Amino acid sequence: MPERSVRRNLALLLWVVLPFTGSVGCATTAKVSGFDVMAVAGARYAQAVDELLVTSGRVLVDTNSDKLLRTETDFPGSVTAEALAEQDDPLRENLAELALLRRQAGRLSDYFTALDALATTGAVSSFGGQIGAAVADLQALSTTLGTGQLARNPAAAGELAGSVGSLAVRHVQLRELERELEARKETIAEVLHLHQALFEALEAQIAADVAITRQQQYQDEVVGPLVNGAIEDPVAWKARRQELLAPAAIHQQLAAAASAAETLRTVWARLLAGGLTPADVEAVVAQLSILVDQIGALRESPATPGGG
Amino acid sequence: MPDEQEPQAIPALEEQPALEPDPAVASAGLPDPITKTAVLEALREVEARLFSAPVVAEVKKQPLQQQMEFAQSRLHLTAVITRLNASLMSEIRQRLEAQAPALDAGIGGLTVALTQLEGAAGWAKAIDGVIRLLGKVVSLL
Repeated sequence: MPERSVRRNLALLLWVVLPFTGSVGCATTAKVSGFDVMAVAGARYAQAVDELLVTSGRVLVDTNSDKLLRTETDFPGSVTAEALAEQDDPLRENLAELALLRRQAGRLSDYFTALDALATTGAVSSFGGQIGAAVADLQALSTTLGTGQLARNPAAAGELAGSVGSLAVRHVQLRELERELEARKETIAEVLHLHQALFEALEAQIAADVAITRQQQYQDEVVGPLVNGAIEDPVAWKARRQELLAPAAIHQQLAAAASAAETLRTVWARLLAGGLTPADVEAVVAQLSILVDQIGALRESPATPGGG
Repeated sequence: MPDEQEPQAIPALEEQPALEPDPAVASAGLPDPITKTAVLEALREVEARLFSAPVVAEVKKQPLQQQMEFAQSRLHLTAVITRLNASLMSEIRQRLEAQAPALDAGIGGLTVALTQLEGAAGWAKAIDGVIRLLGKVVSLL
């Protein structure tokens, strides 16, 4: 009765192995899946951050250019080469800081990518296939022990060894993940906290700059033509008014990034506390979707929001 | 610059002795975040007013010399704000860089763990563990 033997052996194996492995099985799978979700979300977030920092730099320069152009238009001859240089120096500082911040975002991306690689390693699933080489050793072992049970059914032995081996590898995988995350939990939380502060600070600056640009555009393209009776294309005028009254995409995007950083930090804490829920996963996926969608929309629009 | 602007701008900065802290920046432990963030906010408000159509229209009524001074002062304010913003970015960036060695160690640790799990040494170790476990089972049969 090889089937009965296999079933009996499997039951015994589970009885013996589970106390050794502690949190294997469904709990282990759930936890590894939690690390997997967090790793993918973190990597996507870090990539979005990189793109957002690039866009922010472009907007900072463009809105500054708008101020220069407006000043020269309002007060011809007032903008000198020295005045331009005075604008350029701090802008270069901003761009240099953003470049360095991108490097830090890249480091965070590398971390989450490494976390993803360990959480999704193929070692667990491929173990069963590779264990065949050990079957001969197992046969020798069982013969030595005098039972002959496994020696009479090498296929069952291989199957069992594969099952136990997968559990063992998964246990090692989880242990390594937990050890690493325990060591790095405060670092990642602090980095995400700083990202939130960064995007809130960037949003404040860019919102102010964009407001000035839009205020000028609204005056020139909406108020001016209306009060002077100079609207040539009413449909285009209405569309432009709609566009300039709507919130700027970059503003929304920076707010979404700050919110995504906060959500990721919360989910990170819950993951490490073993309390990650499907609702947490949905929340982080939803936040990232908003961020990614807005980045996509911004990529297709001019760097200066509202710029025609 | 017209006289009516400066008296409005200077008190706006001085009238904030008890500024509310920026929750995000302050709780991130950034050095001197309250003053810098609050000053930036106040300066941005002043800058927005100086670029507004009513103020520009008023300045254009002034003599040319005053118009030029207004324009240059306004640009100078823009440059100051840009520099302060860079300084704030720099503080956050430095805080992030302070975490970089720990992140690098994490990346290294994860890579090593993955290599060990997937490498020959990892396999041998795991298989050895399986054989020992099976030995226990076989002994029960």
